[in-house]
Amino acid sequence: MDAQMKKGLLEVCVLSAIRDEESYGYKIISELEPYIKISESTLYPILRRLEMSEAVTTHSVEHNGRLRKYFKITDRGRAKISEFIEDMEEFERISNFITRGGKNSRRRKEVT
Amino acid sequence: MTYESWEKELVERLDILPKNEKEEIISYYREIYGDKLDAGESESKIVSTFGEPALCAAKILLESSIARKNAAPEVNEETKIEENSTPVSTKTSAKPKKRSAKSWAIAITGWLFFATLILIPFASAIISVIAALGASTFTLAALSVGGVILALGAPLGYLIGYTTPGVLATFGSGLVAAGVCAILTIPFYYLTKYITVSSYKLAKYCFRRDK
Repeated sequence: MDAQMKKGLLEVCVLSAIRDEESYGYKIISELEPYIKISESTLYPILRRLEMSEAVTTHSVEHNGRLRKYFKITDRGRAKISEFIEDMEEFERISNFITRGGKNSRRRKEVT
Repeated sequence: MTYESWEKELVERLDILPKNEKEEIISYYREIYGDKLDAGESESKIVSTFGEPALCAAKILLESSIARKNAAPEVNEETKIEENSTPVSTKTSAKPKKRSAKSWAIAITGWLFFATLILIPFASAIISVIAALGASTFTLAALSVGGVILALGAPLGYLIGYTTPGVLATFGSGLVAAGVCAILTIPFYYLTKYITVSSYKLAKYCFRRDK
């Protein structure tokens, strides 16, 4: 997959992994594994970016004598997921056009 | 490679980052390392999935606060938010400074122009009026004192026996001068004061409006 595309996609994937329940680094990676491969060093900047843009909030909890950082989604984060879903609907129409070529040129007008 | 040496190498490569950011990264990897151990993975397997410390460091540095500060301004909502949330924002602090310097330059040039055209002649006119009035006040005061002396001196001369019509005339003119000056000194004094104070107020008003 295109790196730029994957970057944006991963951000929404991480948000989705914590949408219903707050989560932590290892759990996020494990949950995403069946769908999209994400390494630890890729996840860290994403989490940081999400935290900076106030899409998530964090708090640390002690677990087995270690600190575990939990990530919780905010309304801003939820809005990002909704935005992505809307974008995807548009993307699907464009994707249809790309796959079919110019045969259905009318569809393009609907998109724009 | 042990986790410890892996972490050490990573930290070395993150040296340019601020201390708190480095600590955050260390605790992030330690947390995942611990969770993976709990899940039954071996140390060497975990370290190998983490990958080369240099590569991890590169990925982190690309997204770090330093990279964001140095990056060319992107017109992107997310970066805007991130820049606003960082306390030291080069983009937001530099622009208003430039703008204010420019506006100051314009203001000063404008004022210099305004001053040479209007303020200086205006001020000199005010100063001349004040000086003239002040001088008149002083002259009148001196004249009144002189008048009093003349008025007192004339009868004294008469007592001594020095009586001429001139002495009487001097006595009369002395009285008149003292009287007129007594009447005029006070309004002249207040007029001088009023003009001085109001021109000061005008100048103050002009400068305040500029700011």
